[in-house]
Amino acid sequence: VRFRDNSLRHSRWHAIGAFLRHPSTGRALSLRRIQAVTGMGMFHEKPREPVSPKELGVFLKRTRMARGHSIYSIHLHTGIQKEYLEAIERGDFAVLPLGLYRRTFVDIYARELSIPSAALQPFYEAISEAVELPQPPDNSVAVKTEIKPPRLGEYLLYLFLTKRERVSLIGDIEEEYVDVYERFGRRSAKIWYYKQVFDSLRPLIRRALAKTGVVLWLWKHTGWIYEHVLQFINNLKLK
Amino acid sequence: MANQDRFYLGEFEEILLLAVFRLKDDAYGVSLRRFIEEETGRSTSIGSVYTTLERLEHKGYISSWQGEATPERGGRAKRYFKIESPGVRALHETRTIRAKMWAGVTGLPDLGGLPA
Repeated sequence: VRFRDNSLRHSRWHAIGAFLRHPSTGRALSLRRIQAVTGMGMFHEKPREPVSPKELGVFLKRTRMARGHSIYSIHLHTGIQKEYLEAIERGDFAVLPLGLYRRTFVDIYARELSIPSAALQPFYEAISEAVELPQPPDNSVAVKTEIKPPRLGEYLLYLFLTKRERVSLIGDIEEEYVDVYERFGRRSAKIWYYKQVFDSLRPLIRRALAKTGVVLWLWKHTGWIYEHVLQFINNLKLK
Repeated sequence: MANQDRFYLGEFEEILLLAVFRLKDDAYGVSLRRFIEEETGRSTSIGSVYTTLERLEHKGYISSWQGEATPERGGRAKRYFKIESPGVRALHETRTIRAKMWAGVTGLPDLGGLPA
């Protein structure tokens, strides 16, 4: 099935259209035919959200009729009671049992019509009610991720790191920062962090300079600023 | 450089290569840095570890691959390192050179304070 704008934007229509075959020839149906069978409007229109249960029922009913099945034959094949099948086609899901059954019935019905369940995915939110129990929040992870090293050091390092090192080295520093934080507290962790960053900058800058060579002169004349900062950090006492 | 075709190792390169070898499957930035700090007693920055690792990898002494990401790392993946056969050869060679150099050393003055 090709779309007018040739995109997968309306993947719901795509999924529905892909499985529909002509009952006798087995060929893919034309756009017009799919539209007639499913009653789902123009294919270049953006589908409405959320899809109503009624639409699902109509869709299933038309598909069933296009395949030439009766309610009774579906009932015989699937074992689902006729009343339930009719209720599904009316979009009257309140008649069906609660919870998972509701979805399972539709699933079985759809499988009988060889509709892939992926095509029904958008409908499920419309027919299911909130039966999922709220999960207790996992505090251990949340607390850990709250501890973040100062951004400044990260930015400084970013200037001199290769693309590959950015992920691993900054991740390493963050991992150790969290560790120091948990063992010695925030102040020690910060001092440790800045000491690490500035100690790391020295070889990183040296490497960058060795690569360029041009800025060597500049470094020679401004390096003392860096030395002062380093000395200041080294003078801070770790607890 | 006179030694370009030989397996030449600098001092920190040697230490790092040994650390990578000894840590086996757990050789990544944090563990390497800590291991070296504990074993040598020198403070080592993660930056110098990484620049040296890059040099070693460039020479083909070690190889690396991306590992898992954990929440403490801000979702950033680890990079694990593994020693390769040129690295092993380099270690052997360095050891031989050291042994030769030390073999003739007698009567090195003891300045005190250092363990024998």
